[in-house]
Amino acid sequence: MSAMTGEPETEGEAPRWRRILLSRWLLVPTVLGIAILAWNIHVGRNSDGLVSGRVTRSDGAAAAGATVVLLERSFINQVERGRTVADAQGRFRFDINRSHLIQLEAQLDGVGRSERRTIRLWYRAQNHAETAPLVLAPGS
Amino acid sequence: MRGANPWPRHALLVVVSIAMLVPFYWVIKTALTGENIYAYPPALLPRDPHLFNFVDVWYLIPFAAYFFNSVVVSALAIAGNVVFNALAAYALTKGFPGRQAVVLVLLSCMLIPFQATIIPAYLITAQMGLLNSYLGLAFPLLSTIVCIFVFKASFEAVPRSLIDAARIDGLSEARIILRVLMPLSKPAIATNVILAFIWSWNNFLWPLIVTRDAAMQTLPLGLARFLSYIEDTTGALYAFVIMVLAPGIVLFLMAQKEFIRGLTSGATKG
Repeated sequence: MSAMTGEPETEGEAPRWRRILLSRWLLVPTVLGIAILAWNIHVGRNSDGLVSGRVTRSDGAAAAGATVVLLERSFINQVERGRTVADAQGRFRFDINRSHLIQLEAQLDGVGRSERRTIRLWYRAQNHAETAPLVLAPGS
Repeated sequence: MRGANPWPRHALLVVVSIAMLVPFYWVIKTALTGENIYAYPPALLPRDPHLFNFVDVWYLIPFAAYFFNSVVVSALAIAGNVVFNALAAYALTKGFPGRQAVVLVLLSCMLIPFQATIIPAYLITAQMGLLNSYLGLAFPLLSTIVCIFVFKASFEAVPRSLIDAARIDGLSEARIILRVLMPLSKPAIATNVILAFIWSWNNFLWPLIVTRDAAMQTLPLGLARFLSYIEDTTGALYAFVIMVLAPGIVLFLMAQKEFIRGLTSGATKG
């Protein structure tokens, strides 16, 4: 191998720079590093703590004025993080979530209470729009 | 054996390989599902697999801190092993009075379990003021006898004339090791790196004794701490196990060729 030209000394031998670039000791850490960097950029751009969704009555009508509670879960307990009130279309929105494991529960006096729904996120404060509405069950 | 049908042998090896991989598969399956490992009849395929158990592990315990501590301690152990073992091995390839006795003592010391020497090791570490420090955590693994002999076998396989030529060219002993022997001993270096990494990465007893606060704990201690959670954490626990094992497996897969060559170098000498 010629150090000056980078050309192989013997026929069939790859240049040194190519062997270094294609070395698994360089390739694997580089790929891992790029993947970690890309993931962190994605997380940084999508972690505003926004959680949104809808609350409906059992007949599918919007549950305006329903109180929605956001709880943070750990292995051993749940802690209430905040609560909000659904608008005229039954929509609600939180911007305070800092957890990756949350629960949502809705309640409207005289109508009922929804199931407590657990939502698992890929990272803390991930923006999340819950597609399935929280349905208030009468008498619960 | 030549010309014999290889398929029965291959079939047997495949069966043995599958039998050895089943526990790993079960760990991965449980990490992906969180199902009860004692459920009967067991489900062979994962039902509703997901990766959220790994997310739980990352956030619900200080995994990144444990991981960082393990990486630092392993890096120190690897560096210590490569440097000190190479120096010791080079000394053992030289002729000096009492060399056989030194080799005999080293071989004898391999028979002594670490648990038997843990109190003196602790006292020495404490005297040096290394308790609850990274260097203290790596201290007993900075040089290992097995790895000294791996280097010794590799150095002895290098032609004597090459070392003599280097000496005639004016190279010092340190430069002979660095410029002549080490470049020719890459398999031995890979073996040292892998063994030191695995021993350090999986070490539980020594970090348990040496660390004083949770901030200095390594992954095996974190795993033990994880077990103390009272809720059903089966899926997260197995996810943690995979996250602890993964770096070692990746390193081994990357260096397995050199690792096998390093362990067998010198075996057919003569």
